[in-house]
Amino acid sequence: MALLDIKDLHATVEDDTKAILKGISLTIKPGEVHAVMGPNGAGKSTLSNVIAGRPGYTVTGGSITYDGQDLLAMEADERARAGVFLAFQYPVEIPGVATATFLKTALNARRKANGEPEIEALDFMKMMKANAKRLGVPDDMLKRPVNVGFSGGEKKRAEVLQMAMLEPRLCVLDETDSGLDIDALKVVADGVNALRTPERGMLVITHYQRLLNYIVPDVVHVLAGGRIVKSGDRTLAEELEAKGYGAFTEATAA
Amino acid sequence: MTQTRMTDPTRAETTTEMSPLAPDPGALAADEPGWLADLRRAGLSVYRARGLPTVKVEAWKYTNLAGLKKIPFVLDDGSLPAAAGRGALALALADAHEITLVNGRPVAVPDSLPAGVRVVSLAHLLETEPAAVEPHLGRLADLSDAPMGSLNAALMADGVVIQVDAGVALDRPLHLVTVTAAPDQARHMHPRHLVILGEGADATLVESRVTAAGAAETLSNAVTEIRLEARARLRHLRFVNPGPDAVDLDLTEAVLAEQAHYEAFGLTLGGRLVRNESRVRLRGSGADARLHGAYGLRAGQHADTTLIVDHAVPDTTSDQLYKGVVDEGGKGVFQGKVIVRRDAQRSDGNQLHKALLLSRNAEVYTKPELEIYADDVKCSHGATAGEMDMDQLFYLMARGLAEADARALLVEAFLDDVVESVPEGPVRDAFLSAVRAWQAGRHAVTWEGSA
Repeated sequence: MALLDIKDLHATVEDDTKAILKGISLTIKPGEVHAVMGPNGAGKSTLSNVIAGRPGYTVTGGSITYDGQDLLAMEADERARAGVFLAFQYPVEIPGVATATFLKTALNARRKANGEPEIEALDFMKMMKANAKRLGVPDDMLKRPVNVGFSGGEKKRAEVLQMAMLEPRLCVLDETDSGLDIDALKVVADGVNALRTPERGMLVITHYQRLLNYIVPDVVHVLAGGRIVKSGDRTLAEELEAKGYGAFTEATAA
Repeated sequence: MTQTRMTDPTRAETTTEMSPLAPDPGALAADEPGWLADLRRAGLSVYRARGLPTVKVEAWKYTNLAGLKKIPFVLDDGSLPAAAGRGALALALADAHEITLVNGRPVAVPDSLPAGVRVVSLAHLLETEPAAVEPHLGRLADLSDAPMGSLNAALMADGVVIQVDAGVALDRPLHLVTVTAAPDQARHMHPRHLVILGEGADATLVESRVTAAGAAETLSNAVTEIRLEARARLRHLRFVNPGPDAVDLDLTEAVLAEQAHYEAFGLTLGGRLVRNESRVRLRGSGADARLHGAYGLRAGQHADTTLIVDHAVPDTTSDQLYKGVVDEGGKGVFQGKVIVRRDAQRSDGNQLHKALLLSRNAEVYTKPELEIYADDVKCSHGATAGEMDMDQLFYLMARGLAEADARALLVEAFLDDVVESVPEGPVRDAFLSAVRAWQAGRHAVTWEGSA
């Protein structure tokens, strides 16, 4: 069974009739990593936000089935507890909530939904420290409020740390490479690669091919003008890099 | 609000329309030293001239005391037994020197205090050693523009005097648990406190302001005068959590000598009408004042924070930071003023107030004022008032928190952010627990109410 099955998805920004997504279809099987590449304004962020259930978008047609469930019928928090994780392009600062406390609260919300007891404090600390160490997240950052005063690289590392802690089934990475220098990119990509398992699927949304040198996808989709104009294997990303988006967007316009 | 109100017709007749609560000049205590009698008379004359402040008075523009006229208050006479209780709503601080006051009168003082630390009843000191009080009482605070503070001078009966000798650092916090009680009928009271820290002294003063169970309306109109000598440091941490029928007015005036530090934090969660007014005079170079605080208000609650910092000499610093959460029907007021005198070069004064409004009929009024007469200064002020941040809410929900839990966490976080400026330790922990309890209560009321 497909982990994520998007069929003919149409969406608009709320209070606007202008279509952003105009019939997207893609299927991610467990263990697969799909990349969605596209120029600015193609609808990349709308796609990730609609999958995560962010308010402010209206789905006007099509469906999203996740693990056999109608994802669009679920609230954002239900989706998250069911194992959908969105790594934000712009992680949000939450003053007053320590990162460690936040991680524990989120983890326990997930466990509660699965009928599991709350995690023991000691087990949580061990798990958090191990993951933080692997991602090069210093202890001090875990004590600081969520994303407050974090650099661009630290914010993205913190997103991957959350992902590692929450162990989602489906990871949606929305331009996780934006604002990262090459060293930070490698750390983040290593963190993501460590989470690749035969059960887990990933949707990696990016503007640049660069990230895909480190997170090697099974399938690459080119998104332009709200449609997937071409799909292929990893070599499609290289072709895009060589020819530019123009070659693909002109093809759709024609 | 369901108590039977007993009225005393003779008392009602002496209450004028303009200045209720005021005694006749002849009714002031007669057997007191001349300076004290002068102080009372001066206070009474200011109060009589100005009357109960109305919203037409700039300093009281957003806080209306007119409702007090309708309540048949009688002056507390000190007749209530100590058994009025500690008040379950006070901060739970195991490791503190605790002083309990009922209606402004000390009823329990610590058995043993470190050498160089004195905590005594003001009434007792006025009786036995008035010369010890005379240089300070009424000399630190200029109340000529403060009608309620002046009324306090006229009617003050008791309070605490805290003295820490030069160079003495207090081992544990002093915890004033001030309980208001009015089991029979509405009472007004005028507690007066003095806090004197000698050169280099160091102390933490915690206050819990609470109300005994089953009280009718209470009006507490307190004045606290604080003197910090050179290099003294006072952390003044206050928990204002009186009952739903309590009116709690407080005016604190602190005078700082060179390199003295006044670090105040106020957490207001209770009361019907609360006004916390702090006036800090930075009189010595290097003096520093931090006035931080948080408040959470629900329906029927009004809390006013009025701060004045006076940079009187060069090289002084101040920081005002308040955050408030106002729920349905609550009303918050923040008036913050920074004065920089002509000679006070290189003053550094900051002010920030942030309010989170949880419903459409929550109100907040902010009045920042900068009065700067020097040219080489760094001053900033900012104020925000808004609804919950939808990006933050979505971020939490995208991590699996149910909407109600996410909202609760954001409300707590909004306040915790400033509560965390209290030094780490039991008092900060107690404040954080109080915020959590308040949020849990708000949550239950709001969500049950809307169901």
